[in-house]
Amino acid sequence: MSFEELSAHAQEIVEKAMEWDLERMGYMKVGDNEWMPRSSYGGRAGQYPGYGGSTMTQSEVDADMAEVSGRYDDVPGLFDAFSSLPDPASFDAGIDDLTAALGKLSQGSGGEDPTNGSPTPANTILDGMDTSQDYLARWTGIAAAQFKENFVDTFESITTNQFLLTSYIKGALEAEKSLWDAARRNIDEIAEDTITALEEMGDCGKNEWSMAFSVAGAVVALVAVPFTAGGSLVAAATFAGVGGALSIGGAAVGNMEDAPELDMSGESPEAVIGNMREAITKLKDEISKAEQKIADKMTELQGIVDGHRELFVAPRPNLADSGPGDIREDMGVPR
Amino acid sequence: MGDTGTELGVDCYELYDAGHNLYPAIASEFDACATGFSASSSYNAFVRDSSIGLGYSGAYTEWSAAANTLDNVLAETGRNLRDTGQALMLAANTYAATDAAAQAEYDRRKRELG
Repeated sequence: MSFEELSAHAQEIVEKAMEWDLERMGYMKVGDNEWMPRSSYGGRAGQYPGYGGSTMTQSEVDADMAEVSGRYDDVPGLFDAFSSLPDPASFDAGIDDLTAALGKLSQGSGGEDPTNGSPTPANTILDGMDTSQDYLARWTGIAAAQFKENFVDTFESITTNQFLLTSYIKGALEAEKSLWDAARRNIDEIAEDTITALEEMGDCGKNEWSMAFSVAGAVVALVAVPFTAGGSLVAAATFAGVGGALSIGGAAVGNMEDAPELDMSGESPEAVIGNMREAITKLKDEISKAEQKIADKMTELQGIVDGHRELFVAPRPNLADSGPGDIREDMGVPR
Repeated sequence: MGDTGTELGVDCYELYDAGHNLYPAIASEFDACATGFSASSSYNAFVRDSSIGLGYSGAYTEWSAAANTLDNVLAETGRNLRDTGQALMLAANTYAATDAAAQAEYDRRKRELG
């Protein structure tokens, strides 16, 4: 089975459930979705026009068919909503772009991506800021001194915070990717388990199965990392992001939640499909909870940036707007 | 009393180096981050049936708000670096022009060091 066959699975579930019910109502299958009453079965024996002597009229047969199909006519719709789940691979382009940005923002001895623990080699082009620090130290003008103090000296901590911000935004995409990968597997498992349960209703022993909702563990909570305040290592704000179980793998970075399980049993199509409906409702609930974690974390992150913008971008230096008329005053004299 | 003559020429070259070489190169890295990533290009990845998760586009609104903020701070950093670099080059040329010996040293270093 595969996710791409979800609609076919839904159809198969309906057909197996109807087959069980109709056979027990005295019908036999005579073709694709074609059923006829047996000639001598329970109270339905007799003169049915066109087949083996049943007494049932066409309208009685139609009523039976409508009643049985009505028991399960919601099933295709339950799966239809899942047939257009996001494709996990569709998040790759954004993840790749943000990974490239991390490489450009990594400085000093290199950064560690907090969403997966991967080391990111330093971008040596950024070392040019250290060189300019020495150059500017000799100039006495207020604008030159302010630029050095507010922009050059804080560059490392601000770039580190931008690196972390980039990583958390990438982590949210990785969490979405993991979420939909697990959701696709889970809905496929529900369909597969339901078909198996329908096939095993008549077997010896209790017809029992369980469903583990791995989607609940797809969005992983990360350990908190502080954003640093300019020039010092004082934590001005701390943030714990989310990542994707797929990208983190077995690394002990976060706290993987145990997948909640739903125990199910049933000896009739109505019971089996009732369990299936419950499992689908539970899956939707777990998807919503997992995605809410991502949304909440992004809102929290946005709040931190809005409340501490100075941690993520230096204010525009006066020197950036110096012109021929004020450049000498702004720079002062070199010592 | 500030530097004069050859020393001033060296000072001017350092400003030129920062303004012409170092800052534009660093700014380009930030520009590349900002332009190399577009939150809206990930929109379709979030789309699904509205009954699933947080609705038709899920957590896209919250995610893209944070992603656009990132884009803005990176672009602003690049812009500030580039503009400051222009000012430093203006300073280098202005100061070098005040002193013949400084201008000579400034020009020699630009020729030899780039």
